[in-house]
Amino acid sequence: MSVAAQPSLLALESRFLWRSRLALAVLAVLVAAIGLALANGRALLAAQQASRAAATAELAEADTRLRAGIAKGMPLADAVMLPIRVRLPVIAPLPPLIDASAGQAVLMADAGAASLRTRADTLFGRSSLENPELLMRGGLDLGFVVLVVAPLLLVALGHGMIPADRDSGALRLVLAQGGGIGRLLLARSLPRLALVLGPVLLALLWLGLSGPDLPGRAGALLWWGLIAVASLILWWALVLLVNSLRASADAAALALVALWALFTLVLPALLTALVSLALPLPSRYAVIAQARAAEVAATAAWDNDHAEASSDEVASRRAALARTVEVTGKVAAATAPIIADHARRRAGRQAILDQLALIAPPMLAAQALAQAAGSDAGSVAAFQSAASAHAGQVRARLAALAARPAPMGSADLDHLPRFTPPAPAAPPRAALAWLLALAGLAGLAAARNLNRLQPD
Amino acid sequence: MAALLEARGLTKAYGDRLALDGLDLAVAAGETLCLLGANGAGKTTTLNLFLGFTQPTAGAALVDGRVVADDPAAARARLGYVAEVVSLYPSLSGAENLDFFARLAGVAVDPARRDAILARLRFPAEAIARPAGTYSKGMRQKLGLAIALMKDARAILLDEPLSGLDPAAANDLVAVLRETAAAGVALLISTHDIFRAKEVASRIGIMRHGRLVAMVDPASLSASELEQLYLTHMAERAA
Amino acid sequence: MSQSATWGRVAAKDWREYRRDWRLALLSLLVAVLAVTAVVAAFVEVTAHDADRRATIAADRVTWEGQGARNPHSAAHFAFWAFRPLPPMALLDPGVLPYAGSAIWLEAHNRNPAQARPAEDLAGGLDLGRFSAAWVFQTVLPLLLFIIGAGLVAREREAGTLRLMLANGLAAGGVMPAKYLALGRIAAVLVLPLLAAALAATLLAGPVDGLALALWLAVYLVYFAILAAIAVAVSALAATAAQARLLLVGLWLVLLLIVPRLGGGLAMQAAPVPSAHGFAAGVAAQMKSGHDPFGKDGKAFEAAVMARYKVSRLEDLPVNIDGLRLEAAEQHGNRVFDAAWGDLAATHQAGRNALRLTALLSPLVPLQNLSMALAGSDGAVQRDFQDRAEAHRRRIISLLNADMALHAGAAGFDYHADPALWRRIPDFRWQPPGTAAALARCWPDLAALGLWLLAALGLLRLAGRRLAAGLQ
Repeated sequence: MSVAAQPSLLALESRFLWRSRLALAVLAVLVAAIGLALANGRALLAAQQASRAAATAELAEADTRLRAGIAKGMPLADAVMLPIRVRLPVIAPLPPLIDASAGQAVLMADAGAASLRTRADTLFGRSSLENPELLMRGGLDLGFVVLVVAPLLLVALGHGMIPADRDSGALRLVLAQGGGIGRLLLARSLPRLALVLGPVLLALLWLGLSGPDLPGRAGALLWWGLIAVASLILWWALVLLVNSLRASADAAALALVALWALFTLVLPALLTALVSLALPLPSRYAVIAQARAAEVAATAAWDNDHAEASSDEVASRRAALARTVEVTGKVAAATAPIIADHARRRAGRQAILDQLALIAPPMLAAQALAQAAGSDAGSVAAFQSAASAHAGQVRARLAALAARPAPMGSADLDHLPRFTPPAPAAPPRAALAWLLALAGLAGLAAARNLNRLQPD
Repeated sequence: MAALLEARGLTKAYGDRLALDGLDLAVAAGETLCLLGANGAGKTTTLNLFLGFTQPTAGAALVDGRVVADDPAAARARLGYVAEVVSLYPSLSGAENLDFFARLAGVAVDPARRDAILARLRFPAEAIARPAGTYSKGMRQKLGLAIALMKDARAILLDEPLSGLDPAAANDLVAVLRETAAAGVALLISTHDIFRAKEVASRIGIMRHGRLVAMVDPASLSASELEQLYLTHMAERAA
Repeated sequence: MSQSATWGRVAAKDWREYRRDWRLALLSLLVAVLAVTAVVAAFVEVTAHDADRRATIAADRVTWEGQGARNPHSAAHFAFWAFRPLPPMALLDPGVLPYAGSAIWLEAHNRNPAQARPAEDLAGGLDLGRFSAAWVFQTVLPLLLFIIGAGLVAREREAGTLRLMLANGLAAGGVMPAKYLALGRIAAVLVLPLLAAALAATLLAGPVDGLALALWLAVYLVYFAILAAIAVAVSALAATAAQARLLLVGLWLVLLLIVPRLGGGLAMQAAPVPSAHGFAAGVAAQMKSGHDPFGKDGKAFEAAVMARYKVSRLEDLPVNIDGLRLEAAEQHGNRVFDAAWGDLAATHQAGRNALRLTALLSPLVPLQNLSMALAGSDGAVQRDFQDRAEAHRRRIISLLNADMALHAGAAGFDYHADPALWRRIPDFRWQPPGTAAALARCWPDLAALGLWLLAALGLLRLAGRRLAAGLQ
């Protein structure tokens, strides 16, 4: 067998594939889906940036007004109320690749303000106003293309590489030619993989070149790309495995579609449902009921939350402010254990689900893609917990300032803690290794079968 | 002259059933051996064993002196194979099918050589650019033969190459096969067409129940004597 | 033998073949497990939600009534929560509920968005639609139906048995009806037990409008009739069974997974909603800049009130001016909320209209709209809940302000209302709009689904004609 002949077999197979209507149909669906995904991603990214920018601008403007007021000087009765007027921005870091994997970000509040009255349960009261009727249809992002659309396209392109020859009888001649079935499969695999992987990687490249210069975006692109490629290679290994079995093209197509449905539709839904049934989360209403009970118990006959309206006198304003601090503190203390318990159980449930995802690779890949993009549930939870902790610190500092005899000055403003977002999650190394290991196993099994391949 | 194809005590059992039972034969370069027998006599099993599509239960098939089971790829590199129905890719042209199978065998395609082979096989020149799906059976057989010749096969295995051909096409193919053998290729043909076997073969092996029950020189017998001989062996089976 | 009897024979033969194909049986079993899990999970969720809601309302009532003597405006600040009950048919189709809050804080000076969206707490995974009975019926069963239907005609043509059937009395024009009947029979065996289980669980979960349930069933039967017709037609039009299988899986991918998402994405871009922070900041700014009877407009307000009561001094007013101020501020706030939330509702409606355009590209879009509407879990019902809750908020804040105005007298904010007042404040009660309203808002979806049925049957007819022509 001449070595030089190999690229020409590849070229020939590429030409045959390119000429087939199937390849054109696959390319059309893929390009359309990617186009939609990129358009959606771009719109989401712009909306997220705009929303953060607007929140930042509004809070900066409030800060400027506050500082201008302080600089201009104000009566003591107004100055003592300054701690309750301070609102510090708590802005979620923009997931660096949210335009590829939207993850949980569409649902979550991206901005809040920490103040004297902010508690963990009120920091993010303003969640997105998106139409739930649109949210329920699901999103179409690049992750969806990689996890859902592309594998089916690979199945369409690859299910018959050997079985179709077996059906037509050409496999006997193919094997008799003695070139090695592995070489033929390689020559058939590469253009098919390229047909699907190429547009996906081009889309990723386009995101890299055209997208904003966000911190961590390059790394996110790299890891996202690695997971996407690994996930598609795993699917291709399964395609090869089914090709190596003694099956007709129709049976191979059925087997691969069934595998796809099992791993992509059935198992994720089933596992998520079973975990939710087995480990139900405590009710969100419990926080509401507890917060209300604590608030009503902590407040006296006339308390309300406009301390500034209580009176014009310094002493009574101070007293009202102290009451606000006390009530907020009591409610926060009463709800903290419920919120912490909720977060802990949610994290525990997610951890179990992440382990179960090992048997449903598309689910694992979905998590890993979102993790690489910074939009996964874990990143959202990490931000929320850091934000809650920060809100607690701000409240404590402002409470101390409120209790201090001297009114707040702009130096006090400068010394208030600023929110620093938690460090981004580690790249999904384990998921990558697992996907590649599974692909390796399926590939090895396919190779073993191929060595014993019989023409009929 | 050393045999290009050789079976030594070649045996294949599927469970309790013996498909091939201690077959011994040898085909030298330029020689054409026709295996004659009813369905299930073991003809196709013999071809499969030479191609390494299945493993012998005992004995060995040798191609150019090498045991097929030890290195089926090396055996296939020296062999050509023409199936009863040569399955081509219907949407590809004849030329593209040839290119594909040649490259699959690791042979660089030289158009001049390809045209020469096709001309030798009297393959209609204008048809080579047509999709193979439009070919008649005879054309498919010739293209199958061309595929074997393109890879410079030292020996060619043909499985019922003449069945279903109209008389003119069969005559044509017989002539082509004779010329191919004359060019120094060893041909092993399975068939149940006694008369065509006599026309093309240098020797005829009669198979029954997986055994080679007779080996005759077609030149020494008339067609009717050959038929009588064949029927006698078949009758023994029935008895 | 009559042609319809022949069709029955063919359908019975196909049913036997289907039953003997262990692969299809295994897939069907998996889907059945999935559907049963969905029903069980939804039953647990719906009943747990209802128990939780009742318990929270009861606890909240105790808190509210036990708050002791205090100023009504203090009470208005801590006020109430409105909790949305889940309709029992949410067990069949939760619709928008996972993405819509079910708890709204009804406080003075503010219209709050609904909170506690289940989707925020869902374990992350692959988002191919929220797991529910409706999802199984809308998405998973069609895939199974397509996979089963793909071979019905194509395989028989490949094997040559189709010609044999024609030679034995089946008219060429009868192939498609026979095969449609065959797929219908298989689908009925697959779907009906699952539907029955889901319906039984729904009836166990609470009282259900029988008409809504019957219509819900009917639209799904129409949906399956559309899909089955497409499956049989493609099976007849495709060259091979493998090709039919892939074509149908491709169609499934495009029609049921991509197009609804395409619609959602287009609608979001066509009618972008304001950011949460921006929306709240805009409302706050308008509240501040408008009528302020406690601040800049205080004097004018006092003058107007005194004029209305024909007195010249505040002390002579028979009512407490702060109670009136509060109510006036509330009225101003309500106008701001009406405008802002009205705009938001209009944006949502524009999104819905944009999405509806894709109903012509996928039968799933109108089916989802109908299914949610009949189940009482669509956006319109959610909006009704939010609007009713807002109306309730206004009513109770007005009641509290009126008490302050009538009884506070000179004590003003030091006035403490009698605890009996708390007991007079009604609970939030909400009756979701009924089936007639659902049909009224969903007639375009009904029409779209009807068009799809006609188109699918037309395709079936066309495929039948081509098949008959090809066989002759």
